[in-house]
Amino acid sequence: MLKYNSSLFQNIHFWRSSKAFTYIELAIAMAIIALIVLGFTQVFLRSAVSITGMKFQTIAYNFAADKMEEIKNEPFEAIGNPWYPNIWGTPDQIQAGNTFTRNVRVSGLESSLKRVDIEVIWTEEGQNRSIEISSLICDKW
Amino acid sequence: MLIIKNEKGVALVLTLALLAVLSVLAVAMVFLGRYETRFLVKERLSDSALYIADGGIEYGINELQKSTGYQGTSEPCPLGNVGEFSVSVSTDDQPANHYQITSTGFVPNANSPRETRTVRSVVNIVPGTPPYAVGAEHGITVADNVTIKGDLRSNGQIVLGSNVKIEPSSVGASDGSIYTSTGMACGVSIGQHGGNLSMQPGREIKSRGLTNASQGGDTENTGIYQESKITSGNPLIVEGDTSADTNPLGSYCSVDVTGLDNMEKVVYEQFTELQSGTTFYLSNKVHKFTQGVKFKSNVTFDGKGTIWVSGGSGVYGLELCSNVHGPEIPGQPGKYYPSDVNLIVSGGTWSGADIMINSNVNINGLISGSTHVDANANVEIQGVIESGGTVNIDAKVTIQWGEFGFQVPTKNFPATTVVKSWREL
Repeated sequence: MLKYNSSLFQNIHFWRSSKAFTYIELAIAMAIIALIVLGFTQVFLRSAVSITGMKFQTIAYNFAADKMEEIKNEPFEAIGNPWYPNIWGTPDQIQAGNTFTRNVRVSGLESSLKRVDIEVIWTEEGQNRSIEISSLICDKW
Repeated sequence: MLIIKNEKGVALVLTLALLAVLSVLAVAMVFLGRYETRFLVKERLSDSALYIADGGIEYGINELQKSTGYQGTSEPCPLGNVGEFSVSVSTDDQPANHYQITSTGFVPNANSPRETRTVRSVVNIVPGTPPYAVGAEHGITVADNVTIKGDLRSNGQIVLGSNVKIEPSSVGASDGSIYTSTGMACGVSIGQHGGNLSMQPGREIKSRGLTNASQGGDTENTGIYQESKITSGNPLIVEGDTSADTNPLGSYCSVDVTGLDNMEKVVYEQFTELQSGTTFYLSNKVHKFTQGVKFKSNVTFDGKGTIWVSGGSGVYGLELCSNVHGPEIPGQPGKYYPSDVNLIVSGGTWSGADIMINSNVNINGLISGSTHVDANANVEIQGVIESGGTVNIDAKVTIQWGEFGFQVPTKNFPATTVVKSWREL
């Protein structure tokens, strides 16, 4: 073996003299590849989860923004009715690979100024998630 | 050229190279995914900040509707659980009654914001304007060579001199008519000095009093008299009118005095006389004179505001002598901007008139007196002249109904708010 190793370092035609890979070499190679693949798989899985989360956030945000725009286009007196003042409106939902529940609350800050809060809730990885947007609307003369 | 004869081992090299490339690609994809995630989070927060900033604009409009002296928030205001906004209001380089509101939304707060968005809107808060150019409870007298762009309306008699023109207030406007609201002795007397009345087609002269001679009408002092002096426009003449057009107005003093008193103001407790050649700084305020005021000749009004006389006694409550105007127009020596000023007398005992406007005065605003208002020669007014008593308009006066140069609260005529522009900075 020593003689062989010696020739390994002295003989530049090493591969020409090798008959094949040993089982040990194969096992080490496979272990290295497995570690690399496992590492990448973890990273990819985490990215996939994150991207799914972002997708849900985007859906939730658009769901909230749609309602905000709808409310802004209503006459001031109609905003919040029939559940005005100061209570959450009847929630509504959409299904997009998940269930998103939207709550709307209108608070009369003054007779000519209302605050609109819109909250969207959904479940992700067994945990409740939510986003909220708020704005003010005034009664223009 | 290098020729590699021995190719054994090349598979290992290629495999390692391929693995390296794939690794780089994989790492790049991971970083790209992370970047996109961060970008989306940023975008969501940014959109929330935009809604908050827009809420700030609405907040600013609401405050301006309460008081046009509103300047903005002194510190950021919280909005729900999401963030905060700050608002500033400017009138620099804006036309009359236009306000530039700038609002910034912060998420989650102004001290350490993760995202900010700023929007700017220009709103026009149009003061409540009476629907007539000249209105008076007990009658209007118009001298020769006067042009009135808008309606004339009175519960008393309207007397028109020679060569009077009644025109619409602007191109396409439907006003330019004459209405009197009470009995036969309170009609319209046309062409008092032998002259003519010129009107536009499609306009009308309506009076509640019957005017035929058998009922004592159709004299210089009763009914609609001398319709033949109408030289153009062929207006509809309605005598004994019962339509809503001639409903008597409850009051020709349209100023909400309580609202006026609540505006930012400077109070002058003694009768005040402004000397010739001085500049009076209006500074977007109400200037309340409790004992009357006189502006001598060649006084310049700087800025916008209201002159209000609330009491006192004498000949005139508020007197403007000749050559009273706004600042000089740059590059045009001897030419001046109109004064963006409201002239209001709501009380006192005045033997001559509540408001006396002498020659060469150019005003953009409301002129409102409680008993008598007198406008002398070469006066140009864009706005409204009204009186709880009578109005006397002398020769060569032009009055054009229009938006006041400075906000004045009125009782029966609601203001309107128009959003002229909205953009993100």
